[in-house]
Amino acid sequence: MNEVCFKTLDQKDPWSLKTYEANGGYSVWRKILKGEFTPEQIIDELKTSGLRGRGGAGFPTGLKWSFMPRNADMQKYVVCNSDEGEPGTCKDRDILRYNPHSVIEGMAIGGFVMNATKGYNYIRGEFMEPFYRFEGALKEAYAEGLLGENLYDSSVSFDLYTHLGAGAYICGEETALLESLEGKKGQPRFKPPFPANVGLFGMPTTINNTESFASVPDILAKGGQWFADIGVENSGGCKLFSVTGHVNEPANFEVPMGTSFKDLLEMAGGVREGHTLKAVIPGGSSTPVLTAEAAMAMTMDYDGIEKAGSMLGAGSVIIMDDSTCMVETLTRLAHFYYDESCGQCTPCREGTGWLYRVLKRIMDGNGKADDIDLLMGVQDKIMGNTICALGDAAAMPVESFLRNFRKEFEYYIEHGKSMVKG
Amino acid sequence: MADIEIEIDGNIINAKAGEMLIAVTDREGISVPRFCYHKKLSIAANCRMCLVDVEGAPKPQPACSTPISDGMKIHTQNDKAKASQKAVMEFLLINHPLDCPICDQGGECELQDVAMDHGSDVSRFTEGKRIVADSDIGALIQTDMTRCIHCTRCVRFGAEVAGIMEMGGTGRGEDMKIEPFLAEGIQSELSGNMIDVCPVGALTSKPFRYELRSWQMNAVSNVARHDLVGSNIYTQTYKGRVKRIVAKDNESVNETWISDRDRFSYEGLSHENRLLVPKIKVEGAWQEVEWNVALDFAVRGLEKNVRQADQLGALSSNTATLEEFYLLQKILRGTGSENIDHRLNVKDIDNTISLESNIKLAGLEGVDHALVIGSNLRLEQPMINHRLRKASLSGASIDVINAMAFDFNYRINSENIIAPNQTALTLASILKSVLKSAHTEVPEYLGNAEVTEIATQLANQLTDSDNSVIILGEHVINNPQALSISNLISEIAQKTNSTILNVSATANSMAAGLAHFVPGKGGLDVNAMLAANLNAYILLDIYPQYDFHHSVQAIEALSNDDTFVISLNSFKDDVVSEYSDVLLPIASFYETSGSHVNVEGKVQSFTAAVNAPSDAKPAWKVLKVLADLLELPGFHYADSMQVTSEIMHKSYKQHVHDENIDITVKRGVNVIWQKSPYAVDVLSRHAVSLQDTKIGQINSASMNKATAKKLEITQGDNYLGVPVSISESVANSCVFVNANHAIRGQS
Amino acid sequence: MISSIKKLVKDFSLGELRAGMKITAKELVNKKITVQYPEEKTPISPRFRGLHALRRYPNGEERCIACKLCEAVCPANAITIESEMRDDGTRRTTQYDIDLFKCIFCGFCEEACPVDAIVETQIFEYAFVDSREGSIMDKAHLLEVGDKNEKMINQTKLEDSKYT
Repeated sequence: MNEVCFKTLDQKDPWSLKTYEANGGYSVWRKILKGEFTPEQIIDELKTSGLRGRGGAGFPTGLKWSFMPRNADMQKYVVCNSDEGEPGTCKDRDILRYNPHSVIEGMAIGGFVMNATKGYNYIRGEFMEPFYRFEGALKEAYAEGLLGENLYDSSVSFDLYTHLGAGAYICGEETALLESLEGKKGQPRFKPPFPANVGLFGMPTTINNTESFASVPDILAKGGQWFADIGVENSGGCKLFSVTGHVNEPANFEVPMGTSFKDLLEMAGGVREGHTLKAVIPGGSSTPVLTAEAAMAMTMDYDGIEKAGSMLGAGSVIIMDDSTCMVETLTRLAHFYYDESCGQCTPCREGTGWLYRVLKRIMDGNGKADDIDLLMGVQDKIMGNTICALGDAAAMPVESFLRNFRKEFEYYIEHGKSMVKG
Repeated sequence: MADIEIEIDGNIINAKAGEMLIAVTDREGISVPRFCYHKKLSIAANCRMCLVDVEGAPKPQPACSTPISDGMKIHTQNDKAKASQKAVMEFLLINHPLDCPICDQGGECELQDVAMDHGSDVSRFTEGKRIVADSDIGALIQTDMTRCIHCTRCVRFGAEVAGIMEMGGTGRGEDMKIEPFLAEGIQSELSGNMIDVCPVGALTSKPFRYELRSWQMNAVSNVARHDLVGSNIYTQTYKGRVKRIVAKDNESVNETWISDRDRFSYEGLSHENRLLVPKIKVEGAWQEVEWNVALDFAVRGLEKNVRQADQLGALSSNTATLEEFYLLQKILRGTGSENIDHRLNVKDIDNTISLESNIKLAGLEGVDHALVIGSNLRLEQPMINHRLRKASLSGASIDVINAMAFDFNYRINSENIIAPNQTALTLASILKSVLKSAHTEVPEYLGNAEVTEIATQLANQLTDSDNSVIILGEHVINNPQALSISNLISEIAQKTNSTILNVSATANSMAAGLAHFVPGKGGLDVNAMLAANLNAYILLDIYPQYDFHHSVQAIEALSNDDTFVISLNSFKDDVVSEYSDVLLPIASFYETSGSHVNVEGKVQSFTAAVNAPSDAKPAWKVLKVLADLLELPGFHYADSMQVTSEIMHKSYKQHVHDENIDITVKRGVNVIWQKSPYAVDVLSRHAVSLQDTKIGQINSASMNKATAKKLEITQGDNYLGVPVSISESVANSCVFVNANHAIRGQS
Repeated sequence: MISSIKKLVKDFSLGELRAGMKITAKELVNKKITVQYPEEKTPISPRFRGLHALRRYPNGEERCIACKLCEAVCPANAITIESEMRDDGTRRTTQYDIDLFKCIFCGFCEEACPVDAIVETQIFEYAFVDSREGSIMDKAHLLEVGDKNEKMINQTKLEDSKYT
């Protein structure tokens, strides 16, 4: 546990350069500056490690980095997505708070691999403490000469800037993040072209999650195989899981991929006394909800969770015990997506509001018998028809809640009150 | 052009790799519904209406942003595509108000049309609908933003075509609003096009509000005569009145856009000031009479007053049609007079610009460098400016030499504010620099021109570009060295291989050249005529206080007791009534057939969309009958097209000036006098809504502090009857007058 | 031979007269079906399409919003509408004419109307003898018919609403 991103967690001033270097930090970066690593080697190691994007989509990082036209004669950018806005997720915040240097080193390595001399870390607007921590770490790194131009007289240059968002969930979507970074209204772009060809300011850009970047230095220091061995087939390494909800000790846990959900639940102190597990959202609010039985049988890796009927997402495990009213929970989630839709494309702009209003009406006791079919119909019409994934993210919980807990909804509509809370 | 083969709905279609799917389906006539896609705007892919099924893709793909590749199989009509389109349609309609009966877009609404195909008959949406507060965005565009479907066409139009992003999306999710960023509303000179691009009734024409349904009107192809472009339009008429004007596509002229002046000037047609009945002045009093009485009176007056042929003069405004110019000069020449002119606003005909344009409008987009001299292009010739903006966006560098800083809607490489009396010298040093770098002999007349750094830069830009154009504007026509400037430009263009675009003329004055409406051998030009105390005049739609450069002298000369004046006018005017002896009401824009000649020499003929009101008649008919009554031969025309074809069979040589170039700086204050953009002709002066816009209210004599001190005037004073505005953006010793002679009143 | 004798007997016994009188006697006591128009009238269906009227809302505001759908749908081109923006910003007619010479009483105008402004009442007894202009109903006239007969219009619409 806590082997990669959180390895300095228990030490004094875990965020300081001193602590980081004492744990082997910046060794890879220094090797690169000495010319002991080639970009191809790094990409190979990353491919071996099985590191997949930790932001939610799970795209293999090595492959992503190899797509960049590194020899193209133009400015290229590396962008870190620290706009952690998914309800239930709080892992990137703690990486920035407790191990900011791993992100800096990871981004610098990325910059070297993709021949990008400029990087931006886009931090969520509400993250004031992590922002100052990261800025402090940046200062330390610059003072140490680890960032800047022609570092240690090599031909390698890398400048890193921090950008604080303004509080929109949609800016966690990579192209909306780029728009926001450019100073525009945060709205996703349609793809193609992909950011690897036309990204920030129209230049090739790679965007990775904070945790992905933070994992890179250790993978290269200890070898891709080491990282792959921690995890299971198809899901290399360890992963941060933010366990929240009705558990006794909600926290972030860095555990090997493939750990069983049962163990993870135990680490978090189990469900509250006197209650039983009812439902689990395994990957953040936009992934489908699972029933207790399905959850208890699953292992925490990409394939394991998919087999159980959901997605790993950003690894934010939301635990709900038997005191939870699923109608109320879904209404709250629907309100979130209604509030956070950017308004650009039709199905999401109009559909999220519709979903929320119908659920709100049910909550107010004015539900109608065909409302469940209506909700199913509306979510189905949003699904897959939008520019970005927010539409899907809004639709998936509705579908899974209704599929897994239909009886509760029917009860609420019929009786005008909650089956659980009465 | 067929690069690859794709399959759409089972049919093999040839297309170019990388084309957007919707461009292919549009070309092939396959209907794919859309709202946000517009062929002249960037792709937004936000309405999601054009979703189609592409084999192999897990999700339906938007046709507007899916580039095609070889072997692609697309279904636009299968269940998956239809289900997606139906889904999007339902979402679009849930918050769209059901107020079609009171919506002006009803009947020409894209949402209505698509809803007929893809909508369901009963809504499943039972929650409250969204209501959006409207803001007043100006005199031309009416907003009903509750109807907005957020396609962002207007936003993209502003950002990409008009060049000022006035509309934008604010807020997010359901609360996203399309609204102007500034409280002062929409100011662009092309703003009316937003009405055309809006697929729903969110943006509609304010002057046209609630008047008619689209199906009630006849659309007649026409040509706008306000500028040198001759934008193609549809005049939409109802019961013999022009009720609305919309753009007509013509890629080589105006693409799909028209300026606000072309779109909204029609309001003037129904102004209460229209001249409706022929009148004659008997012993100082006006009498309304029948046409035959008025024409007899006119002919008898001419016979009585014109004892010698050269005692008759003809003057015309620049808005006349080609045929009117031609017939009027033919009458004059038939009677033996050569006193013919249309250059009323020129101070000195012998010292003014004479340059021929040698670039096509569409070609302007392709230039890589432009030097604009003496023009506020954006407000004077909006569509030409739009072409230049396109060139600029694709990388052309644009330099400007002006007497005042103007607001261009593209990046200017170097803006040189140079006093009018220095312009010739500046051009001379550019020419000198060009000649020097080509190691050519420098002629004597450039002797004392110093090659400045700026001149070198401007010269290098011209020499270094493969495809440069020099654009010469209206501000130079009355420059003390206009002729020299004209000759210098012609030299520079020749030496640097540049093309020339002469936009110093206005409206339809290119037609006057084609019709040879200039003094012939022994004839007098306009200023000479006024000085010569002629006995009789035929004036075509002239309003002297606005049209003449020497307006005081003109009114004086025309008001002579023994001068017989026949005025053909479309609008009433006190000054005209004062000096005229016969007033003949003529048709205005869109009420007569005729032709417009644009800056590239393209002759565009049009028919009358409506009849002139009351007793007014098309001027070409009036002139023809006048000629018949004067018993002149060769006026047997049945329609205006016969006149046109007669003109096309003749060709006249342009007046050639001798090559004298004088570059000495003349001392003194120079005045550049120009009508403000929405007061250029009698029709736009009477267009009420146009006058209520910010551009319509331009009325200022701008000068810097030093000049004001020299002239002993301050802010708040009037200069030439125009309010003074002190601004340091004007060159020294220069007054830039933009005069607005708008006429208020009912229309 | 026999048949002619039979006929002779029948003729002399006034058989046919009696048969005729029998019907007369029967009809004398039977219920009458002849309607004594104009003192009596036949019942009219609520869907009867008679003279046109323009209706108002109970607060006195005219219903018509100048959408011109009736004008568009009219197969006889009998309706003429001119519209403008009224001072309060609403869309209103300045002219609403129905030419009764042209009208074929098809009822399409009523069906097209989104606000139930133009209706065809049950009035069928109208004649315009004094002038030609009288049969071209203008807006004031149409509103007047509506105002006078609002109760009847309301009633017939209510009756008809069961079948729509």
